[in-house]
Amino acid sequence: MITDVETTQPEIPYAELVLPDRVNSRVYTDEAIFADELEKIWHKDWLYIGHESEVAKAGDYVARRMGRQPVVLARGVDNKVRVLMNRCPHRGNTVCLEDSGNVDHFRCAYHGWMFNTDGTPKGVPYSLGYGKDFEKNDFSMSVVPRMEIYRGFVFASLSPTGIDLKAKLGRTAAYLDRFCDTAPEGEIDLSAGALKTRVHGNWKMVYENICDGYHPPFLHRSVFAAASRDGLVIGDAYGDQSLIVTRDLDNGHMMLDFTETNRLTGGPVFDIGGVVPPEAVQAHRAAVKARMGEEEGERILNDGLSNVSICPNLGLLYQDVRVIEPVSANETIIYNFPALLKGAPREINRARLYQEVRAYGPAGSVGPDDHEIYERNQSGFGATLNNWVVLKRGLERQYRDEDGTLVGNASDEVTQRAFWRQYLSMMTTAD
Amino acid sequence: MDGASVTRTEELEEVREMAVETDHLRALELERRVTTWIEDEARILDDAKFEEWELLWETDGEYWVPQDRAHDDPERHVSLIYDDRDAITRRVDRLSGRLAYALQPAAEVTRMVGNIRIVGFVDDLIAVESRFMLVMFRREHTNVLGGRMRHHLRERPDGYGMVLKRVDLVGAGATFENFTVLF
Repeated sequence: MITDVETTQPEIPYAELVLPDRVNSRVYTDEAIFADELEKIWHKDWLYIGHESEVAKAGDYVARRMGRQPVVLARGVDNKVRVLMNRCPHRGNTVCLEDSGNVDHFRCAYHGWMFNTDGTPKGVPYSLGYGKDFEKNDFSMSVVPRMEIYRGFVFASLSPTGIDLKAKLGRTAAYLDRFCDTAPEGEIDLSAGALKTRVHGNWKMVYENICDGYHPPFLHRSVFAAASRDGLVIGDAYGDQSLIVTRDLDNGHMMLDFTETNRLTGGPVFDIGGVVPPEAVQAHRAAVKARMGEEEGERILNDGLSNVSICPNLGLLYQDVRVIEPVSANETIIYNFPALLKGAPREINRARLYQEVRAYGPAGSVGPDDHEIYERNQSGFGATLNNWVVLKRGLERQYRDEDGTLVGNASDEVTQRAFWRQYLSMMTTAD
Repeated sequence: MDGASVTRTEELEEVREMAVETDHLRALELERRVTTWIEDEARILDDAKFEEWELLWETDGEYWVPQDRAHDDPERHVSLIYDDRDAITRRVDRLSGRLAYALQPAAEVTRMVGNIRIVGFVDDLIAVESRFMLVMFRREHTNVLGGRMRHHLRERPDGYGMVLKRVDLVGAGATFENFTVLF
């Protein structure tokens, strides 16, 4: 277990701060709690690191963070990907300076030590200086203790023990399948990069918002107004008569399930990626069915895309692959990757890319209003006379669906309660 | 010298010199008009006159703020901004519509544009490069941003229209906060 804060501090009474229908906002503002979260969640749990499509060729790498720990996702000459600590085993220097690249081998600038892209040592200058018993093979870049891949999504954990990825993903694995099977080749492609935004708000607010079906018509009113002008009626998409449901997927995972709506309309709630010619839409549908079979293909295409979160750091919102990186109690970085579809017509992928660019990042029409509201919320938390964040919406009307999941209305807080239940468990479970 | 004995060669030489000077004057005039136009565009953006700014766009206009100076294909990489003409209209609606919380309060901003150079002609378009720096203030924070711009301008009866505006920000690959101004 990796411990960042080596001080004795009073026990944090999580069971008093996280109740079934409300949360004390101290959890969003207290830096001691943030440090505790680093230890108990970010440096322990399964985290989404990156996608295989981001490191498609041998020697490709991307630099990421697990909590505060700098890591590198790299593909070795054996074509396998690994997650390595971005630290020279000699004196601790940062080995990979760039966000991404392709190299024959890594080289630490300080004393010239070289490493293969699987982290094993390649060369140590003047190694005679270490004596004849020096074994350079003892000095590799550290590999994370656990790494598993599902449909190209690479997850890793800094803890050597715990449940396996399949158990961790739980019900979200089925959605990851749907997400990837929407691509004619069954694979998504994240090689177009990510928009990156810094927000002044706690990471948990960012996570909760992935499957919040209450806020869109209010916070994103500029988009709803624009859609109305374009002739789309989405004003009631999230209202009381909505077919969208909030779904608790267990283990802290959430879903804003658009399946029923998709079966009716077949498209995204709003469409700013540009017009896709009908021929391209048909070609895409035909290609998906060619791979999955007529019936299964039809089902996947009609069920369409929804919003799903994978606790603690991943969200899939239509074509958006959203990754959350915590910086401090009141600062978070959000990455937005457009998921392109391998084998799909160019017009489809172009529309998905432009949809992402026009909605998210610092200049989008959707993301920035969320970013602004996080900052205003974090500021509001400064008033501590009544510290409760109330999450009781829909408690009276939630119900168990046939598949066993707890379900609520589009605007209910079933999803937030799902997260906080898992959070309480993660923060209070003895190791 | 006796005027009557000016030779044909000297006449031609005089005409040639006048032609060069006319071309030179035309070039100076073009440079002045383009420079003034680029500076006027900056003023319009500073004053948040987004609907007026939209009128400067041609129907085949492209507005592009890449994430990397080396990016040359908006379809292969994400961009901070990549708008076709329809998306420009949507952006102007959002900027001038007062429904966008990210833009309330609006930022105060003033920018300097300089180093304006006509660098060539692309079909019927004038290619212009320039540099800018802006200072903005919003909610207790002052921020400085800047970069290089490339405009492709089409002549209009009353000035120019933009067919391309590409803005390469300093630190385009950075992790930015919300953009509350337009570049």
